[in-house]
Amino acid sequence: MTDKTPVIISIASGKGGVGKTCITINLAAALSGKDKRVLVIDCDLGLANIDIMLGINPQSNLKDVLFKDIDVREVLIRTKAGFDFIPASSGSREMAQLLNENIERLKDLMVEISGGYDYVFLDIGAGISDTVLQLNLFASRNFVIVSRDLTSMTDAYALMKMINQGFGKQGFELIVNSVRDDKEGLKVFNHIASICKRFLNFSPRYLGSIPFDEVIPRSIMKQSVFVNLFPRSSAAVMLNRIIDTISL
Amino acid sequence: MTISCINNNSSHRRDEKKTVRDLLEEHEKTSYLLTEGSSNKPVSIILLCDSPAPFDKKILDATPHIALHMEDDLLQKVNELHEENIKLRSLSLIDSLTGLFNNRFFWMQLEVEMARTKRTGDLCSLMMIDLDNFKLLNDTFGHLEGDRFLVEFGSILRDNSRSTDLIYRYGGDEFAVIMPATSVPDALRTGKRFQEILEDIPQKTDPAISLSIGVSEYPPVSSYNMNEFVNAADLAMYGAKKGGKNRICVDEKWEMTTRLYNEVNRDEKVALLMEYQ
Repeated sequence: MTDKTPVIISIASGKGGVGKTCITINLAAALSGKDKRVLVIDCDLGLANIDIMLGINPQSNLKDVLFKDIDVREVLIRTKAGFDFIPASSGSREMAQLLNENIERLKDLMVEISGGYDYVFLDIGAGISDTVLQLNLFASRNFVIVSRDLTSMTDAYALMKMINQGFGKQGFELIVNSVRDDKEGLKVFNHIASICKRFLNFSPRYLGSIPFDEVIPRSIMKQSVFVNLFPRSSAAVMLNRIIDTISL
Repeated sequence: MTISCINNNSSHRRDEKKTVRDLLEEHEKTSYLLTEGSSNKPVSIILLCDSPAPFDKKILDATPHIALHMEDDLLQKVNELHEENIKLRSLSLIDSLTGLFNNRFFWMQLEVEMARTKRTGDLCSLMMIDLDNFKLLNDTFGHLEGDRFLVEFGSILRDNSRSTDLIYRYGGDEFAVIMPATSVPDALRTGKRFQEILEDIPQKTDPAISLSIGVSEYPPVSSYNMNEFVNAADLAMYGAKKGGKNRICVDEKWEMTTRLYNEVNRDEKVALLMEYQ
């Protein structure tokens, strides 16, 4: 195994319920299918749910690593979809609001464990907290998932604004979820991009869109990923197109 | 269960004393008997007659499940059953000590209110209330005194909430309030009122009983299901306890998004809203 430096990608959305976690695990599965070594870390520390979406019942999680001194490798799970996964704990107050020292510890752990991977995805919780900000800063690339819904656009914009104005970061990459077609995806992106340009003086990058497709709820019901279950579906085709864009 | 409806036939004269079996057999022949399920073992039978009973009242009395022989009787019986059902249902939905709704009804109604919220687009708030120092009262003055306090506090909640608020004894010394069409700031005001009123009541223990309150709001920041919605209020309530009792905490996810939303100024909001149309 080579000790290459992984690309660490944060995936955030501002608003919850826009399909962030679903996109994260499908991106990870698609990249694994292309022989990339991928690690997904559930950083939605207060409301973790990747384990549920994958039908996994973890015995221990990130909380145990941070507070009970369990080795992070013991928590690591190899998923059926081919990527590795570190679960978080759901419904835990201590986790949702990590103290600064714990955020530092979390970052150290991430550096320690990510050696050997091509991609590390950080699935980041909704809203804004120090943890959310810190993890976005820690990642080398920042994906933002947005839907055509006005609250989602507003929250995504607010998230980019806070990270940009507080820390000078730019270069956000947008995925528009649940669109009728890519034309609509592009329209939503252009709208947000024009407001970023006007008020914040930077332009995000368009990664692509995922259409609303009935295979998505079906794959969620089956606790699996649509790129593998329904590889010919329009959602899978569009997701693979995003994968191609990511590596450009 | 087999339900058989017999449409009375004019051939049955009042003076004809027939057994239920006779009647059933006769109707079966004339195909007036409608049965559902297995006709061999009817569990109960409803006889619908539009004229006075064509059979012996004694037989009917001996077989109470079949004891309906007149339209009036039938109506009366149906009414009685209906009332009985309402009573039984309310018994299983109401907490016998405080008279508030119970935990069982809480989950039933929360589902309804969340569905309503999805349809109407209104907000719904949920408040979890835990009595601070209640154990001290129980341990010092006994459980009867504790129960008396729970009853009194139940009345305080009832008398000081709005007519649309639904109040539950969630369990032990925990109470829940479902607040339809209510945002977090409004819920906080109601919670504060509960606390103030309790403070004005003379109490036996020192420290006195106070309230730790947690509030969450739906539709949520994140796509909460019913458990997560309750859990969010619960966690906020534990936060209030941990933070030193006698205080109100809000679901931190709510606080986090509010903070996010406040980052966007008016011009930006207008741009986001208008230019996309």
